[in-house]
Amino acid sequence: MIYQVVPNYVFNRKKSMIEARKALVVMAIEKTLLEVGRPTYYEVLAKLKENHNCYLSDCYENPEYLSSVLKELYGESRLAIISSIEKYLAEMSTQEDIANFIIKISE
Amino acid sequence: MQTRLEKISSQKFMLLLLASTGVAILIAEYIGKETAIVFTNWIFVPIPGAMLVLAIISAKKHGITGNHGKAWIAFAVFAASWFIAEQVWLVEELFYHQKPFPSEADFFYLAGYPAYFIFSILYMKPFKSLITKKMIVFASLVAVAVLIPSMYWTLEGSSDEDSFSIILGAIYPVCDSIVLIPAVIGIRLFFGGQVNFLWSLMLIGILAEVIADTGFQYFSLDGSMYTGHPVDILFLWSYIFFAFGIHDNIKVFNSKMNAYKNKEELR
Repeated sequence: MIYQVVPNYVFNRKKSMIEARKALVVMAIEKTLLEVGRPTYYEVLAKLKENHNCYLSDCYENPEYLSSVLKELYGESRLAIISSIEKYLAEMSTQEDIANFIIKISE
Repeated sequence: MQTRLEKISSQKFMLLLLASTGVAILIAEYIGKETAIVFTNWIFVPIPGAMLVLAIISAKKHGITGNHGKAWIAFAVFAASWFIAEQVWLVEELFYHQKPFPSEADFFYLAGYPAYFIFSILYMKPFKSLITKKMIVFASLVAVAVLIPSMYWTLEGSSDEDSFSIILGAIYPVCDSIVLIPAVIGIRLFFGGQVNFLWSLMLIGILAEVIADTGFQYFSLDGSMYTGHPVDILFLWSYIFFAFGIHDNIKVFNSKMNAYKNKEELR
């Protein structure tokens, strides 16, 4: 049996890359929602907490939560907000995690 | 989310207000023309005033950030403009005993339309990518369909009114039709969402306004229009529809948010 030893610094680097992508996604969501309006932003945060017990940063792993909250507020027009978020993330969409996020949130 | 019970009771209150104001104007009219004039003039203080207060609250809650913040400022300007117009009408008629149409009030009524149009545009700006040409064409057709009979009724027939009054009276249905376009788009755009109630009431309010303006012009032309005429019920109702639309929108964006004192902890 062959064991591959992953050095600690590689593991840490990977972890910090994920954190950086997560921060980028949160920033894109925040920017888009604040462009709509401050009450929209806070109401989305509150609904995420109330309905799904999650924070904005959790939307990176669970984009469907954000999608459902936006649907509750704006109906099918949520797609316009999602498309704005996608635009902010467009340059990063080659990254697998970000691409997955975009696919899941658009569903 | 606003509970179903709250929504139903809020709609019940709106229906009660619509019915009571309508009946009150009819009773005043039944008592006599003088009573109708005085009562109707004064009822146009609290109702448009309530709409103005709610518009200011909404604008204050939104602040100047984002498209919706700017949109609600524009709506507050519209509400203020129409509120001033109503008060000018009241002063002209009850205190100066002048014919209130045409008067300075018309300047404020007409100034309100661009502000309302700007509100609609700014509100929908974040969703513009979903507004198709087909939607715009459909909304425009609805507006034209509403405008044609309105123009026919308002311009047909002879009248003792001067041409300035006739043209001024005909401008209102045209302005109503223009602001009807974003209202129709809004209904389609936000279908299924909580903000749809606002746009439904905006649309109903504008439709009430179109019918009222057409009726106003029609009865003005045959000389039978006066403050307190049943047509005024529709003018009053449009304010009620707008006010409840704003009220609902304020509640939608407060339902969950208010539970958290420190909003930053939600980030």
